[in-house]
Amino acid sequence: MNGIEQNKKAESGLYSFAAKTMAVIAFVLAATVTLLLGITFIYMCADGGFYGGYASAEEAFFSSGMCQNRLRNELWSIRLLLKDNAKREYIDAGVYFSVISTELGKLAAPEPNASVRVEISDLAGNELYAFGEVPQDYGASISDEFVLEIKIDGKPDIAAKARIEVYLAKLLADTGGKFARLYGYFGFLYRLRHIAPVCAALGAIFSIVLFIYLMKVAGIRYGEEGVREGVLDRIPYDIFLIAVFVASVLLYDIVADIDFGFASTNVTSTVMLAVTVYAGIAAMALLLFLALAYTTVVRLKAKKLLKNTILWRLCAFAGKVAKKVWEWALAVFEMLPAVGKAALIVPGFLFFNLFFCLGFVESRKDGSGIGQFFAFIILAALNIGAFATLIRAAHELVQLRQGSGRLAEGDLEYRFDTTGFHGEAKNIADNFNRISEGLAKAVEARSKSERMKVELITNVSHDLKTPITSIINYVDLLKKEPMPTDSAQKYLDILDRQAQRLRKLTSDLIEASKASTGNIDVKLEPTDICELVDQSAAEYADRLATVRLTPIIRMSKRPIYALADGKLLWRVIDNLLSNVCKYSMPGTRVYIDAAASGSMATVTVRNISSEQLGGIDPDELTERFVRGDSSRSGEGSGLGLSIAKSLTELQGGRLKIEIDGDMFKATITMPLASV
Amino acid sequence: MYNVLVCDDDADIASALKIYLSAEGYNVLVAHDGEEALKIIASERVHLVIMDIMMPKLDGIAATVKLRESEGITGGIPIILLTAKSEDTDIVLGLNIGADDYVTKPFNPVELLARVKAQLRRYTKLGGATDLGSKPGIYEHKGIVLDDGSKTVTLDGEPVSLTPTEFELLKVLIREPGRVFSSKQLYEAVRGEAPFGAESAIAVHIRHLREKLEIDPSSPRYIKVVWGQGYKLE
Repeated sequence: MNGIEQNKKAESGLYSFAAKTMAVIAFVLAATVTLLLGITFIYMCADGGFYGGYASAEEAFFSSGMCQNRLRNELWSIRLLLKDNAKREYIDAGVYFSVISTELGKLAAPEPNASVRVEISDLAGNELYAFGEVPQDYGASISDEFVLEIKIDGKPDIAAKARIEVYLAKLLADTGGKFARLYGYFGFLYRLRHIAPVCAALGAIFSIVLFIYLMKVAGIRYGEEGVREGVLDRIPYDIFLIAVFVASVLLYDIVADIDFGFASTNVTSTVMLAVTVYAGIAAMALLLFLALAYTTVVRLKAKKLLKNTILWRLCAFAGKVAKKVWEWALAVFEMLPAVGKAALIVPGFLFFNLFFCLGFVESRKDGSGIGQFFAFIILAALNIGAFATLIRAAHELVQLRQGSGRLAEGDLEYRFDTTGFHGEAKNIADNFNRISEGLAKAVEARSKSERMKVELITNVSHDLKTPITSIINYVDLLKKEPMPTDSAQKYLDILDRQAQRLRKLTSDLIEASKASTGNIDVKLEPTDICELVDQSAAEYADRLATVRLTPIIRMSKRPIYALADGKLLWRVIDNLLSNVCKYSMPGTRVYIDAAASGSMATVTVRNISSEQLGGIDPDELTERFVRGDSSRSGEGSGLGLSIAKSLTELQGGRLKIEIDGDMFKATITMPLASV
Repeated sequence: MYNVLVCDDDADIASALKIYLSAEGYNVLVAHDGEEALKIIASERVHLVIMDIMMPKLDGIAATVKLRESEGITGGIPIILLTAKSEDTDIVLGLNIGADDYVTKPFNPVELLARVKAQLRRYTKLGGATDLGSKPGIYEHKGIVLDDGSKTVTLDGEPVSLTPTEFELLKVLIREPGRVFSSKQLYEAVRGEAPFGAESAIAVHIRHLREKLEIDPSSPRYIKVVWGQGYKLE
């Protein structure tokens, strides 16, 4: 019955309030008629007086159970009268007979349509007493014979045979009395005997159709979507059920207690009153039933059958309270410091262990073994649980150590899977995750800004190159032109020198930025540093000679293979030797040593500075844009040592600068290649 | 009289180049972007192109590719790329797509002129030395011709005077181009005896050899230094 059209707008007029109301009224009417007629028909079938093909209504009445039962009732009341009175002690039988005559007269008087004949004879068949006449013509009769013992005072009882006959007149006078009234009912029903089953059947079909229709439209309103609950459906279902039950009990009581005997002497009006009252009660019962069915269906459709009950609400409330209490307890527990928790948990655990141990020992005495068994189960569960918790905590600790170790080693990608953690360990893992996230973000931002800086420097340097090219070229062209004065020639020389310096600066700037950010391809391979020193010295032989420097090269005869990028290492030495040429005191010696010590290869360059070096921090020299000599008018860019340092570090080596008085010492340390 | 096309979007640099080249006796044509350069090449007989890379409309790389794709005589014109881009990868890219030489800004005018001269020499005398390699005792590599019989060396047809040691060094290198020789190996090959620590002299000889053969000894095209390993002819 759960409509498919539940989530659709109910467009049909069948869903309108008017249609539903009419259906309810029609259903109650039809079902009432069906109910009454149906009960009547069943009664008719059982009674026997209705479908025997009798000539008249009276004939049918006489053979009906309704009539026969009534007659039997009469018979039994007379029999009871005779028997009861016979139990009293009489002086002789005559007294008894006169007593019963009086009683029988009283009994027969208000019933004009029935007549009674009572005969009492002795066991031999001699008539002792007779009452009433056998009518000439009667419609129905009933008779009974039994033995009657009449108690006579002081003498033996008289055993007598009693015969009672009750006759019903053939033509019943409508003068009141039981049988006339009964016949009134019968007549009313008798007239209905053909129409009742047909009407009941039709009414039943009609009622069922209406009922199905009502159940289908229940909860759906015209022009609206989904299931809508009415006032009735908002009443808690259990309350509603109780109300229906109480109402049913009341109706049943009314039906059970009702008696129309007193209402009127007029038979027809009594029958009509009874029919009306029963119809009313039936209609009320049906309305009650319909309301119950209707609201049940609506609730089912709205899926609130159980939810909208007092019981459910009570349970929900109890659940909520329990949850709150649990949460509160948990929160209090969470707030406790770890020490406090341990102080709670450990004694608690020990207490329970002790408790159940004692229980185990105690329950041995009762012999049944059940207590012992349960104590053992609880004890086992408690200890296995505690053990598992400890193992878990240890496992979490190990994970924390490993994960934090990876974080400490700089693996910022590592994240704890916190689903596997509990309690304090989870908090720690969460914090670690947040730390690594923050670090990763900071590193990312920093490397991004570094990249942008390098890009900027490279781009700017490239853009600088074009104007520098023009300046250098035109200065060069100008140098070929005749100069008007010596001063002009001097100025031109300055322009030339500064232009060359500018050119050197820009190319150094690009190299420095690339080297310091590792933006250079490094190809490490075994490189003979002795060969390299030879090659470098050869490259610088002329330049050293021009500034009157004598290179003293000291190294082993055998090759020393370092793990390095030859091209980059050459640039390092190139920078160092270039510095040597620029800043050494002319006429001195330059010492270049190459050696292997331990797992490292070293190249040392030593020279005597022409400027005063003492007091300069050697670390400062390798910083960008810092030069050993304070005068910046020289040809260098101040980037040479910085570039050399960066390039050495890119290859996994180290460049160390030392100053001893005016002696300048640069040491390149590279790892030896494991050949 | 050779026609040299200078193509640079910077007018000052283009005119400076024009001054230098005109002074050397070349007829100079000037373009300011790749498209203009291709148009001039299509209409005039151009013997050499000096081209900037970063230019509007059509850049130097694209223009070089187009020129190399074209049929006939224009497809083989020597191209020298002249650019501010100095990364190794830029140079490799330029040479790979068909440029003959690569000069970075800021450039040395003397060096550039030497390169122009070398390229023109190669271009105009192309094919003249192709059959030399088959003769015994004559070795040829990229315009260097070493005749072991007459003990002479020519570079793009111009004679180069070498000392006997330099000649022997070049002979060892030119016999196996691309192979890296250590100083010790070179010493043994040249002197016929073990160096006993005297191999450092080889580095000096190599440098002198480079100075005679190379236009720019600091970025050699023929005799390359393999730092920490040795030397090779490329």
